[in-house]
Amino acid sequence: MARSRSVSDPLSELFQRAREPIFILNPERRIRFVNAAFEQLARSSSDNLIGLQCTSRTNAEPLSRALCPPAEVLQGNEARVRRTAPPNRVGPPWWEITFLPLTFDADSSGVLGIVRVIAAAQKKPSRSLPESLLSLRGSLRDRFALSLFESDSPAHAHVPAQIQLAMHHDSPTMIVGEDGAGKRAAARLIHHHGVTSERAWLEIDASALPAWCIEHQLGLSASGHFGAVCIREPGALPKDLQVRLLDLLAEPTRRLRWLATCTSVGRGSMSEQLSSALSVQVIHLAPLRTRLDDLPRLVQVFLERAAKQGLKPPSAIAEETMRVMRDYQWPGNLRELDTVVCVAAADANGGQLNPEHLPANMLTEVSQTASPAPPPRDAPMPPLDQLLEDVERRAILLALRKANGNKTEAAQMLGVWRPRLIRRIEALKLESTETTTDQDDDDAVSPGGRV
Amino acid sequence: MQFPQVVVFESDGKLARHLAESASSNRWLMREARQTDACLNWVRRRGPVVLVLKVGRNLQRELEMLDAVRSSLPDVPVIAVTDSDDPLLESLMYDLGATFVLLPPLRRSQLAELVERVMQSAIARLKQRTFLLELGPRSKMTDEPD
Repeated sequence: MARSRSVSDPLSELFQRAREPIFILNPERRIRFVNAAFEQLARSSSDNLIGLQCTSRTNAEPLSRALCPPAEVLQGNEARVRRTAPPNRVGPPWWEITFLPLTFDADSSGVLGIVRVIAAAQKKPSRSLPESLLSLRGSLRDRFALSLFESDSPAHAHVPAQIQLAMHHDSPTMIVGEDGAGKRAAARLIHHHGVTSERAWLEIDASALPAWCIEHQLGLSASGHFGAVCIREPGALPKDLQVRLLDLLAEPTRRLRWLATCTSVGRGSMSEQLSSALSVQVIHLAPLRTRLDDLPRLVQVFLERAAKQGLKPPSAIAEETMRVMRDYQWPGNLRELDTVVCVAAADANGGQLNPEHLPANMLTEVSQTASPAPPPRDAPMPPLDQLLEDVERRAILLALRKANGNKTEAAQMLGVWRPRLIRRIEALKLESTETTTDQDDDDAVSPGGRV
Repeated sequence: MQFPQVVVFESDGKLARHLAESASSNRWLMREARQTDACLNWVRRRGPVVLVLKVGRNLQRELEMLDAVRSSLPDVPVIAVTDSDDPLLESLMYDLGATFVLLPPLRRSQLAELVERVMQSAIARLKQRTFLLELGPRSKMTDEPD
């Protein structure tokens, strides 16, 4: 017989009569009430269940982990999550739990959980999609080619071999590189030309999707339809989903390739266990500025790709255009190069691709970096620390300006935690400069304005 | 940065009505497209974009649309909403590059929440990229070997 502690009798009776399995946690996340339906579902009596601490720790009992409320619930918001039905480590079946923050009286609060069991999907009769639709999948293989990563540059020469190695195994692979360096294209290439290419691709954007979507996608990974799952920025996953992902990675029976893409291995709050589990092979993609010798070939690759989409390729590329492109630093890497080449080719409209077809800001940047006269040979070199501080100061001021003074947003742009940014602002004595800048002189924080 | 815009590709206007309140409160431009070319033109505009694609009435046209967006604009997030719970179709949409596939039963709050989160992320990424582009070329001295 279910019993309750500190739950008013009328409410307790109401919950007891409910068909849905219901439980209530106290503020310390210990079970204080379960109804009969929950006892039946958990196959355990309320005497055993009440008092159980619900936590997401890896070594906690499966039931305890399944019932652990997400952080937003403890902050007073409603949440719905999908968890593997304990004691299983992977679904189906799953428990879809709706967590509702409760307040019984002024001194007591808690969390109400309502469980809905989601069983394995019924096998549908072998209905297949028309051939014309499935042919769309066939074209994906041709879209991702190794030519984007072939390089003569020492910084990048090993990458094609690493990608080819990854195609021949299905162990978890981490791809690291700057924004726009081609991480997702490399991941797709590994999948579509690798051992898992027969099945579908699933990308989980951990930094963009709400937790319930990620839970759903992690559940889908077990459906058997997918050959590769790519986690974008796994460091952005909530802690409980990192634990869930670790469970899935530890599942030995399923033939599924896990890939992860991130800008740096230590970024975000990825647990060490997850980081090492996803990094059986690590591929570092070098930024474009370190492989400028590859520019002519990469330009050709992007032009050929654009031509397939109906863009008229230029008759020739002027020597001066290539010189400007070589002098540019390409902070947006391959993504920026792709955009610049396509826009310039569209402007050239089949004629020669000249420097005036390149974006104006690019020409300005190149002329500015090229024009300053070199310092005299006997001029003293500034100390390295001072140089680095100047660069850091400029980056912080620019980020603060972009974020309208919002330090959290500025810290995100710079890829550091907010406390670190605040420490650096204090160390560099930027508070007063920033205030002056905002009020008096907007140009002072433009790139290179002060330094 | 240009105004964020939500482009809805559907034939009956229902999803656009569901999203109208959210778009208005967040000051996003809401575009409803029923023709493929019009939709691609909206999506190609500069600024943060989220494409909401209703799938089910004309599968061939809708999936070709998804394929076209993802091949030419791989950074544009696409949320597919379908009436079908066919796992094969769902996996095909993910394979073609859908960011998320919403299956029935669909609640209005789910769609709005999802679009809001994805749009916030698209805005943040675009800001980060613009920031890098402005900062990048002048940081040459820290990268260049002697």
